Amino acid sequence: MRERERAGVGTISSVSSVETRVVDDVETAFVVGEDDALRRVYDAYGRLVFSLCNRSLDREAAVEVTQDVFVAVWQKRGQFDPARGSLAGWIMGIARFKTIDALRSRARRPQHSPHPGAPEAANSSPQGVDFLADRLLVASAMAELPERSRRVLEMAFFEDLTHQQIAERTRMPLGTVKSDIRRGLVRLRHSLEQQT
Amino acid sequence: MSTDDDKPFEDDDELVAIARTLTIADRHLDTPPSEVWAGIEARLADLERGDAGAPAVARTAERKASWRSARALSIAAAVLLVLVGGVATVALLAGRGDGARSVQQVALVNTDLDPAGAASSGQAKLVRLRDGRYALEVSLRDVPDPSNGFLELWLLVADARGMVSLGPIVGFDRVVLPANVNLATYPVVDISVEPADGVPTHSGVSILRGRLSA
Repeated sequence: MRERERAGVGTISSVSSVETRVVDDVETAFVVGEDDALRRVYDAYGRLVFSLCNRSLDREAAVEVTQDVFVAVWQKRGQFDPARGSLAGWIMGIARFKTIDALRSRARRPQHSPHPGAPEAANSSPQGVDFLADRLLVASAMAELPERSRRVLEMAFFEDLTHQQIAERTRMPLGTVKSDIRRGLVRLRHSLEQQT
Repeated sequence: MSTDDDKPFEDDDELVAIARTLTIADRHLDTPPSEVWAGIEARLADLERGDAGAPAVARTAERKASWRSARALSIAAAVLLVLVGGVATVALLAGRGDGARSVQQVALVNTDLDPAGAASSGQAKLVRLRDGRYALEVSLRDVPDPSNGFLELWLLVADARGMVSLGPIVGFDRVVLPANVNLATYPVVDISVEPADGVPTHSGVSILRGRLSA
């Protein structure tokens, strides 16, 4: 008898690290199983999934695999555990798997079709898909960081500065710089967790 | 622990390696065309119907017997399993998270119908799906064991002289309505008990009915 599957989590727990993770309301709605949860999840993460597919597969396959992913997201919703990773990471884990699967059985993205700024050929392999998925997740998580965190992280990543140098450059207290970077890193790492 | 002069992370940190290779394209996402969401909804509705491969076309009372008999057997088996003990579970069809909006709800009652369904009750909810199609969500309670048969869902004309079959149901179901079935023409939701005899027409044994207002 088909019963409506309920998500297996009783409560929404924080990550077991120093920082408590902000569980956003899309994730809450999904875990709790609200009426329009899937639509909200799609609105939040549809572009992320579609970008992975669209930059690894041909257009037709990208449409179909994106659909496959969200149907699977819905059917497996009881398996998502917010304590073990972000919803984005979990969804992209499903997306990686299905994209790599599609690469094996369907048309690859033509190697020479133009797409600004992306190394096209590299995406059409399992490692390429994984790498692209990681980059998309990190880029997306970076964009969602508070302004201050993002700024200091970018300085740390791209200009290779020490804590002290960043503090001087931004004229922020050293302690603030350290904790902004630490919090930012936790969020970025969390965004990559797939729970597989 | 890092000192003030330390860098915030190790150079061989995997996350850092990823962050350092971000391209401009990685920061700009592609928007999926609207057909993507429409397809997701349609597939989830079909899966709920339990009928992943079935075409969403109008089924009339005169469809082929061969379709009926093959499917009827499997439905009958499911119904018998469901009805052990004589009580069908009422499944919650609300809140499946696919954006379906309830338009109308009507109780299904046994008044003046075949006494076989005297203890039964149910409800039918008309919902509008995200892609604009309509579906009927039906849940039934305490329906009789149709032994060697199955329950079927129909839409009837007001005087019951015309009808459209929406197929066998197993106590609860969501059926996407065919686009060319007008509820103003067929406003009556009907549940019948059908024998698995390969005859597609309505058996005449209705156990529950309710009327939608168009």
